[in-house]
Amino acid sequence: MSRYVIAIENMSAARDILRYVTDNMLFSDCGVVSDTMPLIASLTVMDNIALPKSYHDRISLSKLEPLVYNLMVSYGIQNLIYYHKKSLSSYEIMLVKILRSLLMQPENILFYMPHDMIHAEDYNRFIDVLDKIENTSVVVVEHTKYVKEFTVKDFKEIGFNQWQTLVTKV
Amino acid sequence: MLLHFNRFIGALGRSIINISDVLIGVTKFSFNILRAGFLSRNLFNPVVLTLITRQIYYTGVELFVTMTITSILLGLAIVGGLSKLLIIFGATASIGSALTIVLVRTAAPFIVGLLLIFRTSTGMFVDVAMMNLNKELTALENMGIDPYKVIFFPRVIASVLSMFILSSYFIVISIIGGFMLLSFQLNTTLLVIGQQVISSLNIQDILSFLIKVLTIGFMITAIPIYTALDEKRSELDILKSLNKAMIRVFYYFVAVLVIVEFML
Repeated sequence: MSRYVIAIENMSAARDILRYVTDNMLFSDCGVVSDTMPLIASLTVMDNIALPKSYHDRISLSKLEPLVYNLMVSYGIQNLIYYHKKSLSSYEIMLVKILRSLLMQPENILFYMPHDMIHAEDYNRFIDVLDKIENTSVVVVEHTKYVKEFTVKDFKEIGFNQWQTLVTKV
Repeated sequence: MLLHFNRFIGALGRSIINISDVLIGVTKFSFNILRAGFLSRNLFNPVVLTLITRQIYYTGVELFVTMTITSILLGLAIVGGLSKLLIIFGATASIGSALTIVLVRTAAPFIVGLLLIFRTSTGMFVDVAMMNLNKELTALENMGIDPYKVIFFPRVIASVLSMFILSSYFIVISIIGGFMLLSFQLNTTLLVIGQQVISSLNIQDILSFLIKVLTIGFMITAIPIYTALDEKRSELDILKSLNKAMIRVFYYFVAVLVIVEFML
């Protein structure tokens, strides 16, 4: 699937992108991984990942547990299944948000300013994790100075309008 | 003098407007919760049922031990004391109706209501205020999940059910507790006392109990949540608003107890 990076110079443009995506696209069409979409602190990791799927598809949380567990195994975080947000590192929170989006099997998954969400030492690990995402287009909205880290990993740099057109075609 | 009077009238007017705003706001909010819960297929959504069950565990089941101890002790005090008084005045035949008035109409909604206000209302307020502050509610909306359905409705319904179950439990355990004391002084059995209480219950007592328990159960959760949703600034402001929420809950609690008692 396609991998795009959208370079952003100023934050207001970035916020406009996020607002457009959250206002106009369904979470099932475009999963969003962003600081503005926090995990629910009172729920476990398992519940956080399963909640959108459970709610929209009317499947009980317990029935989704094996599916969530297998997904967590593929990302190596199955030991966190009953943890709460307060016990997780920023990198682990990011992974849980990715799985929450992936469980909905969206066409696209948008990462909004990932550099702001995790510690600098985890950033390369995060970029490597993106390789594991299959059957979903990955779009990263990131500050210009970090864009190169994605382009060397075969991400295509495009403008937001261009991506918007591509998504509309889908 | 006139200036003071004008200021007083102004302050009074502002207070009336504020109180009206809160009453209208809470009423609208309550209707929205009920609409989200009942006027959709939402009630049978498995995730909502799971969340209601969990809330019942938090609101009701975790209070069971406290409730049992409180009920036995208060049963000893209220039922035992009241019965002792009736024995002194030779009115043992009225034990049933006296217990009904004291326990069913007043003590159960009052004590269980207070217990839930101390524990559940404060917990709900902080929980929802933090969710609001941390933008968790916005996140849910962005994922197409209605917070009224998965956050507010399960909490309110669990509170109503817990209030009803714990109040009924309180009555039963209080009678048993009181009987433990009474059995030493009066030649009677628990069955007889129970029968006296049940036979002296009339429709007004049952209605009074149900209206108090259901409305208090609903509002001791709805008011803190409504107040918490106003709070988006900082954790310090949440603490200030907690006072506001608890005072609102307490006024409402007293108003329901008094108004229903006068009406029925």
